[in-house]
Amino acid sequence: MIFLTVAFISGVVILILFFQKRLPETSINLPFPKSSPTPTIVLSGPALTIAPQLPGLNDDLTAIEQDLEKMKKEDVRLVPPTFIFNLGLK
Amino acid sequence: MKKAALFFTLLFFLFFAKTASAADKSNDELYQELLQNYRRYQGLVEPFNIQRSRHLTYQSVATQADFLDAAKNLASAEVEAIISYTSFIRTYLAQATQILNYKENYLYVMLDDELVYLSSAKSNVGSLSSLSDTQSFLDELSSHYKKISQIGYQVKSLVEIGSAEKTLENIKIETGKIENLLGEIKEEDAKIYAAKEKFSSLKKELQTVEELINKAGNKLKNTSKDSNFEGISKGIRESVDQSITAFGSIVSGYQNIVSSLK
Repeated sequence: MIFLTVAFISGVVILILFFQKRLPETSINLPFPKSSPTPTIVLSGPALTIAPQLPGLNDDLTAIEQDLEKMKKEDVRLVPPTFIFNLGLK
Repeated sequence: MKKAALFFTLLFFLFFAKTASAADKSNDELYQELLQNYRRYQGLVEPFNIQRSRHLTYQSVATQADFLDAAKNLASAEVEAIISYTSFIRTYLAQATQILNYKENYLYVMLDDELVYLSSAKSNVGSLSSLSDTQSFLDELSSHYKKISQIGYQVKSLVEIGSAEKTLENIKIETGKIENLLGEIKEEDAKIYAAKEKFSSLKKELQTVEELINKAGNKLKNTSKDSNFEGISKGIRESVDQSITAFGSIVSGYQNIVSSLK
């Protein structure tokens, strides 16, 4: 009985070791080098004659002008209306 | 049994829809409601004055009863109009300041308290049985309306200062951009020198406006419940008007600088 138990456990351990060896590797080796080659030609753009920020600045300033127009209109709706609280008998 | 269940389900949905629509009213809708209720109130002022004159002249039981009815009608319309005004400024404050994460939450809570009082006043006005009771009711209503009016002026000033501060921040951002742009230009040209000089003068002007807005903001911060918010609100509006004029001149100056760099 003891021999059978030891043989069963040994068999299980051998099977685990056998299948572990056959499992695929977790990392994949890339078939090409990881570092990309450096360009041999240096690209250079044409020199800018107008600063790129200018059109954006104009739009922002126009938007602020529009906000100022809205602020000029005082919202008198918030001013509390008047009511009578005296019966006028005294 | 099934019919009863269906009926109660429909009733629940109708009630829920009504409550949701009342809570979702915009400040424009509430303002229209205020106008409507205020016009109704104004329409009752003349009958009230007529009944008062009659009562003061004849001092009879009949004229007193008629005057009491006219006074109760006026008080009822007054409460309705005040509820509309309070709801309007409450929604205005919530929409203008995104109340959930804003420091002026206490005003919102105060307006909620006033709405609770006004709701009970609305149900009590019908049970007024004498002119002296009506006068006491109006005295109490007057003290509550004083608080609500103060909050109304505070909300107005908060929104005006908030808008001025927001515009100031936006102009500061543009100031930074123009400063960087002028710093990047290495050319030695009379136009560039003039642009830099103009920019420097506008920047100083912006500092003056910032001080003006800060002073106006402090006026509102350093108040107590007994402060004259109507007067403070007028002073703040004057400061905001001055800052709008100054902002306009700074922005057109910046536009001039930007167009000269093209």
